[in-house]
Order: sequence, then C-alpha cells, then structure tokens
Amino acid sequence: MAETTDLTQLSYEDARAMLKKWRECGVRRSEEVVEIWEHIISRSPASLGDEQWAVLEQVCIAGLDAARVDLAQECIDSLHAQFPESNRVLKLKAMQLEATEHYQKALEIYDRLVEEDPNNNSYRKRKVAVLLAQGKRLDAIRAINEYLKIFLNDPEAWLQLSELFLQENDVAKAVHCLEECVLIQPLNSMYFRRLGDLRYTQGGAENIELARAYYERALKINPTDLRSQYGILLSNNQIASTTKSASEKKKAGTAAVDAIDNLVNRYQKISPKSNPESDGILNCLEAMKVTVGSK
Amino acid sequence: MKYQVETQALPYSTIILHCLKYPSKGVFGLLIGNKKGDKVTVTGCVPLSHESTPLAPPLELATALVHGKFGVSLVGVYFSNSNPSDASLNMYATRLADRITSVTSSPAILVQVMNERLVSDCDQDRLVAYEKDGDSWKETKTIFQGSNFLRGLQAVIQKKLYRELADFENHLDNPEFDFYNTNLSNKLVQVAEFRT
Amino acid sequence: MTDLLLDPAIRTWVFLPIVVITFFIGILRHYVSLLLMNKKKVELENIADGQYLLRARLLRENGRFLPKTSFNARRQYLCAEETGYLSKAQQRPAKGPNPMDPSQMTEMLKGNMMNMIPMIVVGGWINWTFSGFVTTRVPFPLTLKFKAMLQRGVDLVSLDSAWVSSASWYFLCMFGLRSIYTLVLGSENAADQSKAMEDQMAMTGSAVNPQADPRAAFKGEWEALQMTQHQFAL
Repeated sequence: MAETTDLTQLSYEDARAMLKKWRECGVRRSEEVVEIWEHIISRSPASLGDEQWAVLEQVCIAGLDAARVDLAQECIDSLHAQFPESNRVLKLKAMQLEATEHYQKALEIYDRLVEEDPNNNSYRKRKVAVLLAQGKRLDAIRAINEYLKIFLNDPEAWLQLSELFLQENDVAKAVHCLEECVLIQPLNSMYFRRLGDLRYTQGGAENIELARAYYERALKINPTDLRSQYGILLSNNQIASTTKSASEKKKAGTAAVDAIDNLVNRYQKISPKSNPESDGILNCLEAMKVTVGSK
Repeated sequence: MKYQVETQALPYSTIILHCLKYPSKGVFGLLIGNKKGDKVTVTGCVPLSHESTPLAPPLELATALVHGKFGVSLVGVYFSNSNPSDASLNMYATRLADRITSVTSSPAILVQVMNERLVSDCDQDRLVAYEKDGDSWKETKTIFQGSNFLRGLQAVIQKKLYRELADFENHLDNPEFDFYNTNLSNKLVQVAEFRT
Repeated sequence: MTDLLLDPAIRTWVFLPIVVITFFIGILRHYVSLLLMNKKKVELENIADGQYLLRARLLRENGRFLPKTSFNARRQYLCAEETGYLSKAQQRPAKGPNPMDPSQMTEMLKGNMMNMIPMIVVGGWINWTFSGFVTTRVPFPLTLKFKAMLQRGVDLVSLDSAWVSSASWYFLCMFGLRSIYTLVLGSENAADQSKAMEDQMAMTGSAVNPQADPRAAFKGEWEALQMTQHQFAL
C-alpha cells in the first residue's frame, strides 16, 4: 500500500512487533520482511529469545519468495542446527528446492513428510503449490480435489480451487467452491462479496438477483466495504435496465440511487491531499446518478 | 499490421512498477493515449488489479470511471501473467480489451509485459503489443525507446517507489488510495528526470 | 492454651523437604510419562469422519445462504443412497476401541501405573520418614471437622485444628502445585496428580464416547439433514 515510512529506520522493538503482526496475520510482504531482517533484526537475533526461531522461519519463507535463496539458506542452516530432526525445517528445505526449480526433489520430500504425518495438511498443500509453480493447472485442480476429499472444511483450499477454475474459465465451478467457503465461514464478508462478483460475472437475470442478495449480505457484515457498495449499485443498475416488471424496475432504480448516495458520502470524507482524484470520481458518480435516476 | 505502439517513459515505468509491486501475481491495467494514423502513443496508464482472474464488477466500474475521465483517450489494456514463464495471452485481458473496443468504438490495443524480460540486463523491449485482427490477436510493432530512460527507472526502483503505487483494487479496499497515481507520477518525473 | 512453638529444625528438615520432594516427583512423573506414552495416533479415516460430520452440520446451519439447487446438490452428495458419504459410513462394520485389545490394555495399564505407583510409594515413604510432625499452621482458626483433614497421623485431641501435620502437608502440596507445574512445564504437562485423577474420573464417566461408534453419529446427522427444509435467507 502507499506507505512512505522507511522500514530501515524502525527501532528494534517496532521492527519485532511488525514482524510478529505480519506473521500472525499471514500477510505476504516478503520484500519488507527481508528488509527488516537485514537492516534491523539481524543485528542481534539472539535477543529475540525463543521468538528467534519463528522469525527465522518467517524470514526464510520471505527470502524464498523474494528470490533471496542465499538468505533462506542461512535461516535454514541456523534452524537445522537448533532442530536437527524437525519436519518443519525439512519442509523449509523442500520449499527452497521449489524456489530453485528442483521440483522433483521437493516433491519427494513432501511425499515423505505426508507419509510420516498424514494429518498435517500443510505438506499436501505444498504439493499443490509445486504443481502450480510448474504451470500444471489441471493436475493442480486434481490434487486439490483429492485433498478436499479429506480436509473438506478448508476454505483456503476451496478459494484456491475457485481461482483455478476461473483461470479455466469455468465460472459455475468457481461458484460452487465459493459456496463451500460461505458454508464454512458464514460471517466472512469477503466470501459473500466474491460470490456476488462471480454471480454477476455469470450474468443472466437470476444470477444478477443472487449477486445483489450476496452483496447486500456482505455489506451487512462489513458496512464499510466499498466493493459491496459498488456491487449493489452495479447489480441494481443491471436489474433496472433489464427487468420487464415496472415495479421491480422502480425498486432497483431507487436502490441504485441509494447506493450512489452512500458512495458519495464515503468519498466526501476523503481528503484531496491523499487522493487528489476523489473529486473526479464524485463527478462521475453524480453523473451516474442522473442516468440511473432517469430510467 | 496496422498499428505501431509507442509507450512513453512515464506509463512504461508505471507498468513495470505495478508488476514489481506484486511479483507473485499477474496485473491488469488500462492504457491512456492517442491515435494518430497508424501510430498509437501511450501517454498514461491506470493500474487496475493484481489478480490473474479479475471479475467483471470491478473491471466494469473502472472502465466506466476511466472512460468518464478520459473519453476516447482510453486506448487499450496492459497485463502480465502470474507465472513468469507463461507468455500466452490472458483471456481476461482480451475480454477487457474487447470491452474497451465496444465502449470507445475504436479498436483497442493490448500490451503484455514479458515477465522473463524483467531483468536489468535485458536490452529487449519488455512490452509486447497486440492488435485485433479478425477474431484473433496478432502481435504488432512497438517502438522501443532504448535504454535511455531505463536508467531513470532503475533509480526509481532503487528508491522502492513501487510501494507507493496503488491500483483500483487497493482503492476499493481503501478509497484513500489514488489509482490514477497522480502524486507518484510527479515523483517519478522528478526522480527519473523524464521529459514529459 | 499456651501457644505452640515449633522447632526451626522442623522447618528445615520436614516442611521444606516435603515441598521440594513433591515438586521434583511431579517433574519426574512428567518426564517418565513422556517416555512411556506413545503419541496417540489419529487415523486419517477418523479425521475424514470428523470433517464430514462437521460439514453436514455446517450445511444444515448455513445452507440457507445458498440457492436451492446448490443446497440440494450438496445434500445429495452427502446423503445419496449408494454413494453419499453419510450413507456409506453408516454401513461400515463396527470398529470402536476394543477393551480386550492388548495394545489398548497396555496403554491403560501404563496410565494407571503412572498414577498409582508414585502415589503409593512416595506417600508411604513420606508417611514413614516424616511421620508425627506438626509442620505448620494455617493463619486462621478452623473448626474441629478439619482435624481429620489437616492432622493426619497426629491424633492429639487437644491440638488446635489450625495446625497441619506432615502427612497432610504432603497432600496439600501434591494437589496445590498445579499452577507451579504449568509455570515450569507448560500447560500440557503430566506432572499434576489431581489432573490425572480428574482424567480417570472422566474416563469412567463418559463411556459413550462419540469416537466409539461413529455410525450412530452419522445416522443422526443423516436424519437431521434429510429433515432440513431449505429456505433461502437472503
């Protein structure tokens, strides 16, 4: 995101807290992690205490992601010295092999790990990642399906599968996957919104209505979500221009205008300093309101 | 071959920065420019999304907003694939280009970032342009300005300015982000000393 | 009644040693049990069973967010006559943990030994070595009923019931060190005597373990899912 703070100037404690936050939220900010590690934490990793090992693991994965295999190797070496028998370290090694495109060797390690600990799903997920890195999309789909036969309440896997189906241009199957996510976590507005997006993409009167319902639900869970707000506007607009029933048309039209009003309210709160173009968007929205209202 | 595509330094850099901000993902964006005869000059770009499968609603919105602002200057689409070795055309990009063609009623161009050429010692053009020929997309000529401005771009990358870039999806997550990147463009011109 | 004064030697040679000994025995118990117990292995099939049961429940609860066709397709997938997981799982031959299974017997025996042997041996030894001491006193008056609890091994009618005998002090330590063990060994420790006893109680109490017969659980879930009326909630 547009942050200007210079990460290399953070204090040790701040840097540590930031790494911890990213580690726990699971955000992918590999380059920043590497930067923080090299400029700040690596000065005295021992003062982290037991947290040291978790940080090393985090930095190792970030290093692999940011094409810093040398750094990852250092982390793996220290981790291996501390935990020579650990499967978790072995997994890091396999990930390093992946990063250097030794896919076959990585797969062998993952296979062994799965055999040793069949209940740990992270190894199985890595196997799918290997297939994806190789660009074998159909094999990856098959592998995730296999995985989901056992761990069928894993929204992360369903989301990935829906992404893959979208790449295969199979929206209907992607919808099915997202519906699973909704079943598993019915309070996550992101899944509802995305389901709305998918239904909208599918098109057709019935699907657009479903999309509108899902957007409304997403907005109810997360009232500040701009995407659902726009989604409501789009789907209502679509309904208003296609439906034959006059009352439906009127209802959708007013709903669309309401959505625009909400959006306008939101944009008016933005200072032009951070987003100099918000006025332009406001003008666009006002213009849209006129066209939608006249339908 | 109908068109020649020339991308000016500023949009060129912005596109590369967009790719750099999301190294693990594919990116999409819109191209702003003008058409004179058979030459298309790209003078600006609007980063849209960092998903390899952007769905219809955000794209529709962004096209509407950008078209509202720039009108017929909306000339095309740029994209990059998420897998570095994948040089195929992305279906979602071609679909978006078709959409732009119908919105502006003038044939849109499609520009692909060749991921494998995104290394500092490559002297080929990192962008490849396509135009629609009947039902299929055919590669067309790009005018590569050579390595002159690439040096400026290097300075920009070293300053990590790509972290300040925002695309339309960032904007939807938080409307404080400006997906036209006005401030960033000013900085780019300063740092890299682009002639506008 | 004149106040009773305790010899400082009792503090050094009885009161503190009992605390230290009980503490270290707890630690020892923890490590021995780590050595003896092999990790409980959960089979992949059991995981899948749990996941499918959870899924059926989620479908019942959150199915209202899906359109009717999607809901029916999923219900069909779970409940179909021949192929549904829930239907198939009901037909599976009973397995359940067999009490006569030798490997399970050793497990149980090990657990019991871990509990009983230290209790008997150490308790007996403490009783024998430190018998008959008055070690400390609680700082508030207590009724006579507490004498039996606090003055085990010291049968003095005239002694105030606030005084604690050595044997009772041992029991107090044994049950009172739980939070210190969690501090030293982490929360998943086997050092604590009282917890082990609770576990044993729980084991005898809950004979109807859901793991014991998954078929019943599947049957219940299957029926519940068949009964569910779909109503689109949005």
